[in-house]
Amino acid sequence: MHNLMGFVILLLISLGLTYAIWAAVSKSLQGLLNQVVKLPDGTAFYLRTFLIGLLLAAAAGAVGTVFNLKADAPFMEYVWRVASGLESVCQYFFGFLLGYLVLITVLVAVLGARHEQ
Amino acid sequence: MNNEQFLILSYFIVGALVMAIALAVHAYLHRPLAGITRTFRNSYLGLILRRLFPVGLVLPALAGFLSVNYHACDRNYAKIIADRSYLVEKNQEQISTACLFLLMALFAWGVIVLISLATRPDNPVPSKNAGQDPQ
Repeated sequence: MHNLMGFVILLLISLGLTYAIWAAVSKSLQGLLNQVVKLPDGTAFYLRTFLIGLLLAAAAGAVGTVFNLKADAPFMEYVWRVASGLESVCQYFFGFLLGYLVLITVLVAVLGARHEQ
Repeated sequence: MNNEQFLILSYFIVGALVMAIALAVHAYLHRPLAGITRTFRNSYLGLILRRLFPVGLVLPALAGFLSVNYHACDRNYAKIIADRSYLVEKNQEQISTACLFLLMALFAWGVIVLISLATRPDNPVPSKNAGQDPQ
């Protein structure tokens, strides 16, 4: 039961982080894509890819963390297990955001140069 | 339910779940992709991309799921089914790896769309539902 609670807490924190990143970036990303892509379907594709990528990174980190502690394990063991899961989630977020940023930078460079021609 | 039954059942349920995740991603993205491919000069290329899109999401997810090895650390079948927590751990690893493979596939599709956007004509035909916020 405690293991399940630990997993649910980790999943909720991961989803909270996903929402925080999405809320912080989505509006400006949409504006940038509208300016650069100039094709509404293109904007929708990249925005949706961003949201799905964040959710997949959160799911990969949270689900990949194994909660198999014994029932009499001390409280801090659960905290450390959640922290270990959060570390994975943060690493996946970092990897995804880095890759996405590179992709968007290339998109802006290529399409920006094309519009200037 | 004994551990062997659990192994068989959980393996196929997780496999189905992974496919469902890939198909959900496809369902969410196929409309904007179809809108983009409609602006291509060569309609055959758009058709090929639209048809390959579900394959290009389901196959990586499946590859991630199948890449998890139950025989790690020289465990034989008897040792594998002896430990229920090991089976659950492997199921979690399968879902996690499938999500990561799917993430990489999304990056690859992002690059393909980027190339297609860079080579599309200057006066594209806008689609009806385009530009909506995904929220």
